[in-house]
Amino acid sequence: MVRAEEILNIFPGELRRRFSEAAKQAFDLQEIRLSVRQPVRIILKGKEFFIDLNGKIEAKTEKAWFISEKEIEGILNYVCKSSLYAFEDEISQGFITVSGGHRIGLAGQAVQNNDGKIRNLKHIRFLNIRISHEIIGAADRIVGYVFDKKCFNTLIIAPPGCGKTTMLRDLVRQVSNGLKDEGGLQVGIVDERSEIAGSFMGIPQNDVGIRTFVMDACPKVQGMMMLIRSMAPQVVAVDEIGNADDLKAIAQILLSGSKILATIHGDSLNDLKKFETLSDYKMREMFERFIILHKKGGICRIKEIHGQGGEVWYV
Amino acid sequence: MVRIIGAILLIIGTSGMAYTYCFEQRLRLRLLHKMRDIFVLIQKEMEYLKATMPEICLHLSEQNNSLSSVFGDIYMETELNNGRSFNAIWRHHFAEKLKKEPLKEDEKNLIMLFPESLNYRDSDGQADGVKKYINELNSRINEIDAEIKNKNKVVMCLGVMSGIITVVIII
Repeated sequence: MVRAEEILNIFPGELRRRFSEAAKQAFDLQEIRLSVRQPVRIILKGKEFFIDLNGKIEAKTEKAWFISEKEIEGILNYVCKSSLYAFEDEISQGFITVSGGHRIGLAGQAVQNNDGKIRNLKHIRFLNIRISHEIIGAADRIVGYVFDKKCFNTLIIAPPGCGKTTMLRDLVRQVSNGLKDEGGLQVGIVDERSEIAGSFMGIPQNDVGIRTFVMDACPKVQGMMMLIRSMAPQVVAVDEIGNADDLKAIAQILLSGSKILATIHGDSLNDLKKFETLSDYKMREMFERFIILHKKGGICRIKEIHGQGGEVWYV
Repeated sequence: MVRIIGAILLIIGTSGMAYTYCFEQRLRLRLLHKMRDIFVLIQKEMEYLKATMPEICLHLSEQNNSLSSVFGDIYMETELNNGRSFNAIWRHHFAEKLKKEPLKEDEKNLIMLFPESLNYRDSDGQADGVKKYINELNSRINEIDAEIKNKNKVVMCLGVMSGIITVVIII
């Protein structure tokens, strides 16, 4: 459950009052979008609203609060505790994770290295605060298909915003803690964007289970290899795979005898083909369970579960 | 006899005043030395550990010196997440701490306004920013050091002399 206090803690004192109404609806609040000299927008239950200078939630922009550069900088400085230099790596990746696992996306002017890689961001004028919604029990209906005496290599397929990460996080928690009749397994999470565990200063802010290690803010491929070499996980969890290197690393994990829980963007099993053309690895052969999610009536649902042999279960 | 005792006490009194002044100057120098050492530690923590300012304050509070409590207070307040910026917290606690210290106003301001320099977006740049502070403190320390060496001797002599002159005048 998202706490209003956690959301308000993102903002410096003088701005807290304006977000207090939005924070009261923490459970339905999905995003707070701040663009310089533009109205402050919030996404509540998938719908866009605006905030006025008194913090009142409005449907139209007439009375909306137009946020200034100084206010955006104030928020960024407050979040970074006046230590922007310490968040150099996160800023260059375009996001900062704060206490509670909420993620602040950043956009501004990119500063590049000679090799073309982004070294840092300056003139950060756009913030997108994504409120972390940990849903304990989100994976209750699928855990039986994934973890039954043994853990099956599982791929969660869903379009953006359909709850892939939420599902993966709860799956990890249940596999790690163990079920009624099953003992838990040692899980290693490679959390490249700090979305699964929502780590802040290395401490997971979300419940990811008692037997879980987290490699936070680490590139997926390197993180998977490091975990395999050093932490001997029975299961490795990773979010949003997609390129040939990811698949190669997963093949290494499977060779080492560990299991994998992963997510990928897509609508159906057919969407896997376009990823498979990028490498020699066949996802249909690597994974044993394919869980497809979709959005129906604005609510994220489990569409179907496929087995490796072509069997389909509708949950 | 009473006159002799009175004369001795008078000389001790004026010498004591001079000594207190000299002692304060030495304290001022010692405090600036300490602050310089602290800024060096801050610079290293930024450069090698990329630690945030509250983390650095926590580390500094664990050291056993006269300033450890102020760093502890700063860390505690940042952890409260009460909406107050780090700059304001630093300024508030150092203003309290330095109120009774024998530093000049511009030296107090130099310490209190330190967070204003925390505006670099990379650790190397920020460490260089702190280095400027260290250099500024170093030049102050050198100035005061040279000043104190000469001034303290003069002040002590003046203290004793003024005592003797007063005794002569009174007698």
